[in-house]
Amino acid sequence: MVKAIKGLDPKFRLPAQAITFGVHRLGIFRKMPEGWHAEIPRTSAVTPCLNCQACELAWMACPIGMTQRYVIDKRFPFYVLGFLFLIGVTIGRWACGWLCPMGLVMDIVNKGSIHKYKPPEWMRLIKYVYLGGLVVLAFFSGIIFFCRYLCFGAILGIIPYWLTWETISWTWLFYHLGTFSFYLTFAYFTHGRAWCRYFCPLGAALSLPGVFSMIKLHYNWMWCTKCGLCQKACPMGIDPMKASTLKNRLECIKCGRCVDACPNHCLAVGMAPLLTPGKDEKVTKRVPVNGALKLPKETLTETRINGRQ
Amino acid sequence: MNVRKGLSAAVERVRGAFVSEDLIIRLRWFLLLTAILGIYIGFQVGDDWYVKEFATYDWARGLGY
Repeated sequence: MVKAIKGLDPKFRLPAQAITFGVHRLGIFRKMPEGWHAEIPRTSAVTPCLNCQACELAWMACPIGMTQRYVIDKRFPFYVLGFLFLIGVTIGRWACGWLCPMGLVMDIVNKGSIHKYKPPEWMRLIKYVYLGGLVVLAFFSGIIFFCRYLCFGAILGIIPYWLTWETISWTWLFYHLGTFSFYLTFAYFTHGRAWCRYFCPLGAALSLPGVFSMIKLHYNWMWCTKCGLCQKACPMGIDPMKASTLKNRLECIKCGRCVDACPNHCLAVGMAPLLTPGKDEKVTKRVPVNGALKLPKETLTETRINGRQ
Repeated sequence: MNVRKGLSAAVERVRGAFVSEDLIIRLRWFLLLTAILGIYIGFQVGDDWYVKEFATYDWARGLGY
């Protein structure tokens, strides 16, 4: 029998995102009552989340900012790439779903999003264009182009900087607020997690090694009634019933909403696969193999017989 | 128009392809070792852990803040 390591309960996701946001800002301890302690150095520890290192309160750097810095310095980013591979292969885009502060913002927007327009599928490629483009532009322009012009530094960079350093460039504040508003408006009219789906270069960087992620979405077709509730719940617009396709491996952020939505408990986020019989294997009885699969057999049978929820 | 449709169909075929779990598991360990090696080189050779621009506030000022 396969024992799966059950993923965290999705109800812990919002607190986890909020805590991560706070942890990224622990540099506030440099702001002591007697004044700013600039001698306390920031490290260049990498975080798997988007985090503006320009923020006075930040103590960890975002891989996107660091990569651009290394490219500008004409150094090969061994450390950042190694870290991205390590995160990608172990947890993959789970970091997007559970840790990223921008994901928290997008989840909040999602609650009020009107879901009126569905952007074409090719728009998912924009994040890869961003990823390639930021390296090229940093190399040729010598400036951290993405963070400066295309990201949401107003929220994580300028405003904390304003609060702590007490000087500010109003032009940059309004520029970044405008950029941020654009992404929020886009998310409001289309889907929650629009940033993660279409624009986030860090999501793109994590998605490529994330194909080999140890944590993944598992689907047990045995009990599935194809009701489609998981598809409707997915903030990334993918089909959880095709868990092993390349698209799902690239895009799934393992947020667990589909797991919550599934009435038959056919889905789980974890490390080991659910027990799914092969084509030649005779199914004698349904065995709940995963902690996520705690369903009374009566309920299951009734659902299967009626064929509806 | 036909070229665009063909390209879209090809992309969808690739993205919809099922990835073999055996291949994933084999490549996963290779990538994991590569990652650890990259971090090791970053620390030992590149001295990437401490970057002066990150340790001072020059980076933020360079952004125009």
